[in-house]
Amino acid sequence: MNTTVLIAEENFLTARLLSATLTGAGLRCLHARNGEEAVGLALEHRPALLLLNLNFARPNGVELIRSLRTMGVSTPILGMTLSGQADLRSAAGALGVRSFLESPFDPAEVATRIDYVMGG
Amino acid sequence: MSGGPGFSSPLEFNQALWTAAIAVVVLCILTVLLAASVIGHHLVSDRNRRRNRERFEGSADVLAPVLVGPGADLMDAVRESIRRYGKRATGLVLRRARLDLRGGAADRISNVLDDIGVTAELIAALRSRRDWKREHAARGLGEAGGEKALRALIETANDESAMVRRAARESLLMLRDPEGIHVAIASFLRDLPRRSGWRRAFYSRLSAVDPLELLRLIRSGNLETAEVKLALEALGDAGTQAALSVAAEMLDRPEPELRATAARVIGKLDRVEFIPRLTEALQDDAWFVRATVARSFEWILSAKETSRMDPASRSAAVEGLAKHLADRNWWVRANASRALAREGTIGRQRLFAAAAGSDSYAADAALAALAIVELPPSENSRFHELIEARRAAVLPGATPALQGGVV
Repeated sequence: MNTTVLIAEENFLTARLLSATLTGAGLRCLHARNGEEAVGLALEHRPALLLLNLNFARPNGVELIRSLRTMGVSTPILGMTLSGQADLRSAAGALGVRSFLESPFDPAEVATRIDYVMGG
Repeated sequence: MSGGPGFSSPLEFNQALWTAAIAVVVLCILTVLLAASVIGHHLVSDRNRRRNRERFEGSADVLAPVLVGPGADLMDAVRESIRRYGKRATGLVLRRARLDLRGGAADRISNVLDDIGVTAELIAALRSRRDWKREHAARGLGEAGGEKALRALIETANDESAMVRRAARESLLMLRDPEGIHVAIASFLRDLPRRSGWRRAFYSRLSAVDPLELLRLIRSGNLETAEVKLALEALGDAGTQAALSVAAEMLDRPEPELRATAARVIGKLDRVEFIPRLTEALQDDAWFVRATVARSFEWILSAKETSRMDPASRSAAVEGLAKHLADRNWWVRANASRALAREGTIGRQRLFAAAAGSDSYAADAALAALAIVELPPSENSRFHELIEARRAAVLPGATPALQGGVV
């Protein structure tokens, strides 16, 4: 079973916290610090899940999802937003993102969300 | 005898030459020293920055696994991090991690920051005579959290410096404590920032932290019209469904700015049950209210929820929008056209009728709206015929602009 999660997050500490949470839940994590790395790692490793910070700067999270979908990457996505970013959620929702994680996050909730998105 | 132009003797000329030469040499030496000091400063800063980043990342590697775990080993990991990377890097990692985490993990971090003395140092820095130091400390306390930080920030909300008060307010909102939020609101109302961007930022933060508190503030009557508008916009942008009731009330307010904002919020919140109310608002006297209402229709009609719409209110909305294809204001016509284009077959029929009609303003708005939606093949050919007819009417003798059916 594919248990690889690609974390696309510019902030080093946030990525480390997410990675530690997911590793604790028995998943293997990859970290992309920018859009280019995210596309490269997604194409190379075909992860089971993409945990994407939708506030990515360049390209922004929504553009990144669009690029990935255009390249045939159909990996389920768990979008990460700050509370109250309804427009961003709605734009990502239109591209098929069905589940969101709000920052600041509760580590216990992350595992539950991941299970849900990965169909566990 | 003269030693040169302006000199009475060769000796005087030679002396001047030597003086100039010495000045040039001194200037060169000073330039070299200055360049060396700039390069040195740059190298040292760069090395410090790199070292600080390495310390931060090293500390994060040590702390991250225990910060998200049950927390039993947290203090041991913190001691290890301080030993290897120093208290400054460790404190910074803990403060930043607290911003990323909530629940028990965040509370544990606040306790540790208190235990290792970081919170006390920040509180002590609030007594500094320098404004920037107090501001920095106030922001740090917002990151650190905990009861002591909360008490210190509540006091700092009355600081003599507006910059520090603003930092304290933002930190109080970050702590999400009800008492702190009330103090932040009271402080905000006492010295309403002059810059609308700062005020907008405060409402936006408050709507993210506690939207119901912002709703109470809007209803309290303590805000001027311009402030109610900004606050309501913040609630709409945050997608706060609770804002709908207050937005519906605002549609009846005498101030057109508030009516327009209320219509925009209803559109943003994408609720079909408000369509009859918006259809009424299409008759508003103020053109920008009508334009905003039409724009809200576009948002709502673009959403997938349209299937849930009551057929009678949907039909009334289409009629209302179609009527405004001939509105005297261009923005209203354009927004009404785009809303109709999103509505579906009936809306598009109305646009085709307007595009073929004698009102050239309505025809242009309708064609512009039809150009931005995907049309079925039968409608596509009709659209091209109308475009060519319109072009021929406006620019007789010009060559056809559209070839191959590509818009």
